Amino acid sequence: MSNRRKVQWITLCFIVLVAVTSLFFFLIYQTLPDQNRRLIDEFMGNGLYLLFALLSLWACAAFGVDLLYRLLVEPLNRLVEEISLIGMVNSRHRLKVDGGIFFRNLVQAVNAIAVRFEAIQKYDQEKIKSIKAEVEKERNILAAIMAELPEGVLVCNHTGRILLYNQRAKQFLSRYAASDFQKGQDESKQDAFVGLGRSIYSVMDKNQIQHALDEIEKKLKNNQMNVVAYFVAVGRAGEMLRVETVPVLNQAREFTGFILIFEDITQHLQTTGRVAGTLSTLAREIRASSANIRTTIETILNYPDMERARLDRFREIIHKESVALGEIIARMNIDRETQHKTHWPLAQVRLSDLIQMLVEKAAEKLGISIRFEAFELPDCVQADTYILTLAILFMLSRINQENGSKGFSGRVERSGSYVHLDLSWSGKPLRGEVLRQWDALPIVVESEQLPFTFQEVIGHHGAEICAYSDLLKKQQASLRLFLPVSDTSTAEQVRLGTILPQSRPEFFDFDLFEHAESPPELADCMLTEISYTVFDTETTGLDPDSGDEIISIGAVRIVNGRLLREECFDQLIDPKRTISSSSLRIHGIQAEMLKDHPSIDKVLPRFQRFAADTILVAHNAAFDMRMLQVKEESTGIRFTNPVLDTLLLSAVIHPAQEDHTLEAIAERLGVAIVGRHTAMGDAVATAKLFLKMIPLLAEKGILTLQEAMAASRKTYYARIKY
Amino acid sequence: MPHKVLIVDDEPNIVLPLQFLMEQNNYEVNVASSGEEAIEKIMQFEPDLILLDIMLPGIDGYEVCEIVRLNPKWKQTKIIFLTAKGRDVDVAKGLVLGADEYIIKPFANAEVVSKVKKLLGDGP
Repeated sequence: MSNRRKVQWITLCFIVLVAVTSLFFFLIYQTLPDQNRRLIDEFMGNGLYLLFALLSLWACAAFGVDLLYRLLVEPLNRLVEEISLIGMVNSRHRLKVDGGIFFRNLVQAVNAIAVRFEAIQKYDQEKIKSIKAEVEKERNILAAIMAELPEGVLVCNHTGRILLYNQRAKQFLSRYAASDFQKGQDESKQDAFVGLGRSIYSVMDKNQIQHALDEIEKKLKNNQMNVVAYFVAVGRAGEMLRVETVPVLNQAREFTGFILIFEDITQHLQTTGRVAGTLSTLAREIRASSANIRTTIETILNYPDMERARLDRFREIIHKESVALGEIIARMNIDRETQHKTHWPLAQVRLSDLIQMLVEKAAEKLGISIRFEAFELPDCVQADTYILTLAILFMLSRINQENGSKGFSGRVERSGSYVHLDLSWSGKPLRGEVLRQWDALPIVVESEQLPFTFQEVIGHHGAEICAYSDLLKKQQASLRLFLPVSDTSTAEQVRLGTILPQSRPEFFDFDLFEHAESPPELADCMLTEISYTVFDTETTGLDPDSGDEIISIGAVRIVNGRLLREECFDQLIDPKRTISSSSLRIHGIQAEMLKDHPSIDKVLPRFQRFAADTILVAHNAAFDMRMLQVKEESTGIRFTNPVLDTLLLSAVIHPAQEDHTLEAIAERLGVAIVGRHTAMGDAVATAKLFLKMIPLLAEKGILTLQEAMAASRKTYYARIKY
Repeated sequence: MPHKVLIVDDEPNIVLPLQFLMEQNNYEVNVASSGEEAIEKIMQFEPDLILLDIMLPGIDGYEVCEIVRLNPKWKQTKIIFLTAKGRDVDVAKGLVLGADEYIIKPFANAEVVSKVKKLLGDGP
């Protein structure tokens, strides 16, 4: 309750008390005999006037105090809060306190100082930023390299808390832990989330990692040079990860954490397994058939006089077995199994890109123009584009030397599991003999030379080449290059390139290394050190108890005082009911947009895992928590995490402010809301506000979770129930 | 006049039965065991059809095919590749070089006879 209200209440109580007492005495006075009344009249006399005078004086004083409070104390309180805001969080904030001329002058003076302060602060921030950028530059380059490593890398402290991960590790582990309820695996690890500060054991089997760590410990004790341990982790859908475990030691060679390096060997194992299986079956079946043929033939040779009927029978056996041999080879599909296999490391490239590059390089390096017929093949091929392009340029330059051709026409067509690329020219056709001579030549184009022969480059690409001339077009000769079409069903990982981040990338936080080994009780934890899940919900309406449902949950994490935008939870939910027009006007989500999305019973378990071991933060959390609470019975999901509410915290920080809506707080604290009334947009805005509130709470002596919760409970807004 | 068939293969164990097979089907047969010998025999023997292996010592079967196709005199000569090279691309390459048929080893005798007869117009 504000002080002004207290004064108003005390005044009112006093007036009521005086009125009730007066009425009481008046009623007693009425029941007295005339003689007694006269005595009282004489006794009171001037005293009654005195009483009225006192009452009037009191009323005037109360009115005066209230006026003074409204005109002076309240504006002064707000003034103090807002000046503190300018100084602490938002230097762009300006005072809007109403009041008399005295206040207007004061506000103008403070705002003028604020303008100067903002300019100075901006200058300082720029300076700090540039110094910080220099310091972080090297670290960020390393981090960016780490992000692009082909291996998945994940660093944990010794308790298994994740301090760093790269995108590849996240992809591997997400696939590794992908849902497959059929296999009866531990459901708690379904859709496990990889994130800073989370435990690796929520994603991977603790026993396997612990075993590797035990192995490392033994190696360390024995002073072995190689202290790395390996294991293979098998995912729910059969993914195989080869995991290299490397210890992180401090100066005293004490174990402080470990690095896990992942390599996805699923495809490799599948291929080698299939080939090994094929070879093994092939050997067994060929051995059996050839044994039958050999025994039969040797019997025929050893007994040339055997009777005709037996000889015919033996011939039949030989024929049958030779047919069987052919069938074995056909059935094993060895040609298909091996035709696209090349051990050279190649990358998937779009045919159109390869051709564009070829046309440009031919013009640039050889002055040769190639006009390709338009084609619409979406195919990709596996290529080392540099050596393949140079090999084709080599061919063009040789043809140019032999025929003087400077203009080529090009054509691309699909032919079975290959694409063929035809390069045609007017003039003498190229002989196969010439191609055979090229085979042994090293690739040289202008000043560029490859350490490979032409045949090696063609072989590396699993390609074939032949020269031919079209009988109908007498003067046209062609060269056809067959390139195996790449299997796009096993799509390569999309890599967008490395963009050096301005601020510290969100996938590592080595400061977490320094965190206390065994944290204090959560209630006593510093607000700056706790991990939070800041969330917001959008709903079908505002009455959870009358069947309104959640239609969207958006959440982000705050770990070690950093908002991790990349570790977010953004899910639309099919409420299986209509959406009230008033809510529709707010969030704009229509029921049709939600039809293909999961229902709340599927989403809540995932959200619970996302928010595991964190404090929940929301704006007006009472509403969101009630929405979750009404689903407890039907879903069996109960959120027992402690909750902080930015609405209540705002009231704690700025009790003199009347408006604690998300917009008002955002304006006060200088936070821009992007995507207001989307669960994700509001969650991000709430998270930013919460981060700004932590130092303001500290200024008021509120440092721990327990203190923040206690202060919240005392606010007027904490009484709102849903 | 019987049609003439030239068998080009360096593997005598397949040449012998093939030769016998062709002779039994009333073809006049000649044999070569390398690319160079094949070119010589083509010039002398002037076959109507060549059963041509690809992997040959010296000039390979592709090149023999190419030489035949580049000579207008042998325009009508039919070529069947008879080979252990069984990849899609081998077949495609053989056909683009001007072969009329492509048979992958191992094959059924009946298949070879039927394709030879068809190309030479002796078939049913």
